Formats: sequence, C-alpha cells, structure tokens
Amino acid sequence: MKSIVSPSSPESSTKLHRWLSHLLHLGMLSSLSLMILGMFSLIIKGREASDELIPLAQLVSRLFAFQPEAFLNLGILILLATPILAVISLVAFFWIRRERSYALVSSAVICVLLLSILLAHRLL
Amino acid sequence: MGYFFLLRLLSVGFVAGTLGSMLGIGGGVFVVPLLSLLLGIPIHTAIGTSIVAVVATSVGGASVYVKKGLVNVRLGIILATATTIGGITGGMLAVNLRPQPLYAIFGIVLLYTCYWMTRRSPSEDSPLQLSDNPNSSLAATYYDQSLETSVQYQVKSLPLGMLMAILAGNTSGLLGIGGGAVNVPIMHLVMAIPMKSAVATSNFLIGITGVASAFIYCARGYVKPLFAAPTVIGVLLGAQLGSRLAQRTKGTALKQIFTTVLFFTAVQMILKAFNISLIP
Repeated sequence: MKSIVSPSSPESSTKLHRWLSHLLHLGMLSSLSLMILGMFSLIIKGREASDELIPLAQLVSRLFAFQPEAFLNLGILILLATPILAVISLVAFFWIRRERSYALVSSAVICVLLLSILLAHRLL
Repeated sequence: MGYFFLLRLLSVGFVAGTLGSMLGIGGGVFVVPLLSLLLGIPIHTAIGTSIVAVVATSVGGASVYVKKGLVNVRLGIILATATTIGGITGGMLAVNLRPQPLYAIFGIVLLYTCYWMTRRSPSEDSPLQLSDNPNSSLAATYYDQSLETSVQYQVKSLPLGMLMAILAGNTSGLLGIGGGAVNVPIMHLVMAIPMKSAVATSNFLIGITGVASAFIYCARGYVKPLFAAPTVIGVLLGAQLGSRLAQRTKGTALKQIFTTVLFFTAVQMILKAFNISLIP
C-alpha cells in the first residue's frame, strides 16, 4: 500500500476529528429525537401502527399528517444516512487537503454503499 | 402491537446495551438472542433490528471517540472498503438462508466471542515504538489518560488486515452483531494497533459496515420501525449506564459471570437450530 502515503499533519487530523464528531453527534441527536417523538405520539394517539417501512415517496406527506410511524421512519433514515454523510464529508475533506489517495479510498466506500442500495432495490 | 410489547423491546435494548457496553463488545451480541429467544421475534427481523441498533451505537460512540482523537480515521476508511464488501455479501447470504443455519452460525460466533473475551487482557494498552514502516501516513498519536502519556503507533500488515476485515464485515452483515469482536483482535493482534485505538476505530467502522447490510434487510422487510425504534432507544440508554458501570466493575468477577451468560446463550442458539429450547 505504498501509494497511500500523503501528508497528514496533526492540525489537519484535529480539524477532521472535530468536524466528524459534530456530524455524528448531530445525526445521533436528531435521529434519537425523532424516534422518541414518534414513540410518544404513538402512545398518546393510542392506535395500532403499521410496522412496515414507509416508502420514501410517501414519507413527507405522512410527516405533515403527523403520523407517528413517519417520525420513526425518518429517525431510522437519518440514523442510516449519518455514516454515509460522514464518508461523503471525508471525501470532501481529503480532496480539499490534497490527500487524493484517501479521497479516492473514501469515494470507493461510497461506491460500495451505493452498490448496496442498488442491490437492495433489486431485492424489492 | 401493544404498549407492553414496546416496553419489552425497550427493556431488551436496555439490557443488551448495558451488557454490551460493560463487556466492550457492543449490544448487538445480546440483541439478537434476546429478541429471538425471549420475545419470539423471527431471527431475520431480530438481525435487521440489531443492525439498526449497531449503527446507532457506532454513531453515538464514534462521536465521542473521534473527538478524543482515538479513532484512526484514515485506517478506518481503508478498512471500510473491505468491511462494506463483506457486509453486503453477509447480508445477501443471511436473507437467503433459512433460520436454522443462522441460529447455528450465531451460536458458534458467540462461542468464539466468549473465547476471545476470556483471552483479552486490558494490560495490552501500552505505547508502541515507531518503526520503519511503509504505511507512514497511517501512523497516529493519541493521548492515553490512564497511562498519562501520548501513544504513537504505526500500522503493520495492512493487506492481511484488509483480507480479515472482509470476514469481519461478513459476520456483521450475516448476524447483525457489529463485528467488533472480529475487528478489534484483527487490528490489535495483526495490525499492531494499541487496544484503545483498535476499539475506537472498530466502533467508527461498524457503523459504516452496518449501513452496507442494513439496506438489504430493509428491502426484504426485516427492518421494522416499531421494533427498531424502541430497541435503539433502549440500547443507547443502556450503553450510557454500561459505560459508567464498566468503570466500577473493571477487573471483577462480573465479566466472568457475563461471559458465562454469553456461553449459555450460545448453547441455546445452537440448540434452537435443532428446534430444542431450554427457555420455557
């Protein structure tokens, strides 16, 4: 792996760590808040809810209708999107810092995650 | 679905999160057996639920580990290329397997986890000498509070580590247990990474790996929001308690007791593969 030799100063690492930590923290908090909100609304409304995932196309309209399941779905969606956003931000970070090898490696991870979405779509 | 069932899911998540955090292996190892053996949830749905919980644990834990500088992000992203591929293949394999083989594989992996836990020693956190190494850009430094010193290290045997990371990703996608019990020994023993950094980097890695297989479980309808949300909330609350309890119970016989519990869970999972249940 000699090709992966690039400048990684302590300052750049600190900036990277700070940015990533904020992103992950924000993703966790928003996702958890939505799930708690969904659970509470479900208990308050006191009705049976569907346990199936809501298709993305219907999610927004159901959120505006204040359906508890929609908040649970959005919470899970944000949770699963957070690591992907972290990898996307790594691509941008390494690209800006001219650490092209790592930008490429991060892009490869994005490609594998896209492949996973594609395979999942074919399974539907 | 009644409120009592939601409460039971929340409790299962809480217990799994507490135990997983106390033992340093993540809640996923306990979520699947508790959901499938105690609540009677089909194992594929239990694994789908566990994967979402594993991603939540990773995102929550990594935000702290990254801030402390314990995560080797560059190494993590390189290993993620291997673990995500493993995660996809594991997920595809799991959704096409019948429940019985999954129970058996899960039991065997739990037995391995028990073995690894009895072998793991906290004294392995020692500063390493920097040596001539081709992976110089992967060298990292972190401040170890317990040793009160900066620990510098370099990464060894990256190609071998990557090959083994595919196996870790595969285990994660197949069983929904995160793969920390596979990742950490690979990083520590094969790649010569200090234990603390290995645990933190693995924590960062399992979230990305989990997402790769989560979409496959979602597509097959094995991720049910009404199961996943209370479990995730419980796991995260339990992980908070577990990390506090872990500091008090470090080095005590409690870990041995939990390892024994894990061993009997493994046996029960293997028996379940043959439709034998010890739980009434």
